[in-house]
Amino acid sequence: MFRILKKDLQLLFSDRRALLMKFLLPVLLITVFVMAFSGLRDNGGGSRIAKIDLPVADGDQSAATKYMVQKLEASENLHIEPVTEDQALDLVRRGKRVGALVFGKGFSDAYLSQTPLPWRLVYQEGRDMELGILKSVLIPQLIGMDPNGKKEDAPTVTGTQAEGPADYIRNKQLVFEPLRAAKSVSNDPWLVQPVAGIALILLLFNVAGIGGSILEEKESGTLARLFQTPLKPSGLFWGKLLMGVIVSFLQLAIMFLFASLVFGLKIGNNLPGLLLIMLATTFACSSFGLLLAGISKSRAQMQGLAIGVVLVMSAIGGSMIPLFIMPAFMKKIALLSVNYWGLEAFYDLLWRQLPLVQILPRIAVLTGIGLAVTLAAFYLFKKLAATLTH
Amino acid sequence: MLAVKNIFKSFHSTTALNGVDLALEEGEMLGLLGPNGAGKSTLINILSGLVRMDRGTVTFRGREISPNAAGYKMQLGVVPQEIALYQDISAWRNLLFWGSLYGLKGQQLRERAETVLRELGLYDRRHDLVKNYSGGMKRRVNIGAALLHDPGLLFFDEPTVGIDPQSRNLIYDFIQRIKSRGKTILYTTHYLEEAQNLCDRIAIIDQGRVVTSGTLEELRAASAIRETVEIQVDHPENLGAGLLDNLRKDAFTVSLAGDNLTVAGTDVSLALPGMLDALQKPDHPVRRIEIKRVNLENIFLELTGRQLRD
Repeated sequence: MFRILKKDLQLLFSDRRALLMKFLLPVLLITVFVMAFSGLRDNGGGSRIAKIDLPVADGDQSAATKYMVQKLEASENLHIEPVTEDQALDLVRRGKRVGALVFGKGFSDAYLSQTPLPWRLVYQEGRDMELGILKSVLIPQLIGMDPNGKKEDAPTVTGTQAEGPADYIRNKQLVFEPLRAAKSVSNDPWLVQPVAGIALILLLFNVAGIGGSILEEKESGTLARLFQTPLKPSGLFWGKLLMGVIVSFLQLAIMFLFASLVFGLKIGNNLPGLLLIMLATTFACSSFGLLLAGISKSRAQMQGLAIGVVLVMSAIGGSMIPLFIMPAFMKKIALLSVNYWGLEAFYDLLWRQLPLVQILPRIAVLTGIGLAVTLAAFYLFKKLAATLTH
Repeated sequence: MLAVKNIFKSFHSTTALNGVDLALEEGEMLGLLGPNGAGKSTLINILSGLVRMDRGTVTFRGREISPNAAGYKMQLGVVPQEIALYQDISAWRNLLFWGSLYGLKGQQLRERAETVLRELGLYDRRHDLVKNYSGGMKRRVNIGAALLHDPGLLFFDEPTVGIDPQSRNLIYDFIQRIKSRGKTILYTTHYLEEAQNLCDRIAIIDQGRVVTSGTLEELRAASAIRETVEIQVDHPENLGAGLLDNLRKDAFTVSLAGDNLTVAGTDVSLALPGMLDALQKPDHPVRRIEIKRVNLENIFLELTGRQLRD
C-alpha cells in the first residue's frame, strides 16, 4: 500500500506545472467566487447588494415623481438612470437591465385623488432571481417615502390625504409588467435558460477535448511524425480548430433540434441568427481549447487548466452566479468571458426575440474573442512545434 | 543521392552531432550503427525535417536543400522509432490517413494501402484496431505508413526495437524486398546482425561523429583485427602472466574474462599451436576453442573502445 502511495507521490511531483495547477486551482476558484459574491458583502447590520442599475422614466415630471426619483437616487443600493419610457422599455427588452420603473402621466393627480397610480415596474420575464433582488431593494425604498414619518421628505403635493404615500403604495401596489415578445414566436424562459446554459457548458467541456487531442498527438509520437510529412504545422493547427468547431457545432445542432422537437423550443424564427451564434460561440470555445494545449506541457496540466477555465468562465460569465449581484469590477471582467456573450446572444435570440441586427454586436464580440485567442493559441502552437523541432 | 556535410547539433549543453559527414548513393542501403545516444536518431530527425540543425548542409539529388522543404519530404518516407500510429482506428484507416498527407487520394490511395498491407502480411486484419495488434504487427504498420507514397528515399530509425524474433524476421524480409526495388535507405540500428545482414555499407557513429564507414569488407580490411580466437580453459587463475605477456608480444590483443581467454589480431590462428602447447598443462586443460572472423562488434570495439550495447 505504501509503495503504491510512494510511487504515486513521485509521479505527482514529477510534473511540477500540473502539481501547481492542482493546488493553485482551489485558490483561484475561491478567489473568483469570493470576488463575485462580494457584491453581497455584509455591511454590519446585514447583507448589502452592490448598486443595481435602475432606469426610471418619469412621464409625469411632477413634484411628486421628482421627489420620488430624488429619494431613489439617494439610495445606496440603486443607481438611477433617468430615461424616457421608450428607452426604459428598450433597455429591459434587450436584457441590458432587469427592470425599469415607469411613472406614467397623471401620477401626481392620481396620487392626490387616490385613484390607481399610473406607474409600473417593467421587467424581463424569466430573470426571477434578479427581479427578486431588485424588488427587495426597491420596494422598501418606495415604502420608506412616508411623509408621516419624515415630514421634511414629504412630496410637495397639495391636498388632503386619507393615507400617506407608504400606505397608499402598499395598498395600490406597483404594477409589475413583464416584457416579452409575442407568444407565437417567443419561448418560455424556463426552456431557454437550461438550453442556453447547457449549450455553453457543453462547449466549455469540449475545450479540454480539443486541447487534449493535440497533446495526445504529442505524447503518442504522431505529432512528431506529422511534422516529418509535407503537412505544415499551420495545417495541423487549423485542422484541429476546424474539428473542434464542427464537432461542437453538431452537438449544439442536435441539442437545439431535440429541444425543438421534444420540448417545443422555437428555433425557426431566426434560423440564420441561431446558426451564426452557434458558429461564433463554438469558434470562441474551440480557440480556448487550442490555447490551453499551447500552455500545457502534458495532459495532466491540460486537465487542471481546463477545469479552471471552465469554472472561472462560468463563474464570471454569469452561468453560476448572476451578474446582477456582482460588483462593478467583476461585471467588467465578465465581458472577457465567452459564457457571458454566448448566453446573452442565445437569450437575445430565443427569448428576447431580438432581430439579428441587434444580436450582431454580441456575435462580433464572440468572433473577436475567438480570433484573439486563436492568434495567441497559434503563437503557442508554433512554440510547441519548435520544442519538437529544436 | 543524399549527402550531409559537417552537421552540428546541440541540445543545450549536450552535443548530439559533432560534424557529421555522410553520403548515400542511389539504391544503396546504408546502416548507421551506434550505441544509444550516439546521435543516430538526431541525424534522422534532422534529415526528415523534424529537428533543425545548428549548421551543416544537406544535398539531395545534387541540390542543397532545407530538410523541411515540402518537395523533399514528398520523396521521403520515415519510419520512426516509436509506434506513431492512431491506436483507436484500424490499420486500414491509419494508412489511408498517412497516405493522404502525401497527396494520394481515391482509388490510387486505396490501391497503395492494399498493396502495402498485403506485403506486410496484414491485409486480412486490416480492419482491426491498431491497439489490438501485437507489437510486431504494429511495427509493420508503422513501416507501411511510410511507404504508401512509394518514396525513393527511406529512413528507418531502429524499426525492430522491442519485437519478437519472428516479427523481426518478417520485417527483415520486407526491407530486403524494398531494397531490391532500388530504394535508397538509411537504416539506424544498434543490432550488429541487422547492419551486417541488410546493409550495403555501414557507417559507425559514436558521440556525434561518424568514426568510419564502408562495406563490411572494407571495414574488416581497414581494421587491425583480422581474427579472434576464444579459448575456454579450466582454472584460468593458474594461467601464468608470462603466457599472456608472450601473446601480447606477438601484437595480439589479449583479454581474460571468466574462463574465456580471447586473443585478437592478424593471423591469430597461425599462432594457435604455440598457444595450445603453452596451455596444455594438467592444471588448466583447454575445454573449447573457437576461431572467429572479425565482425562489426570487434571493429566497433576497436574504434570506440566500447561495446556497442554499453
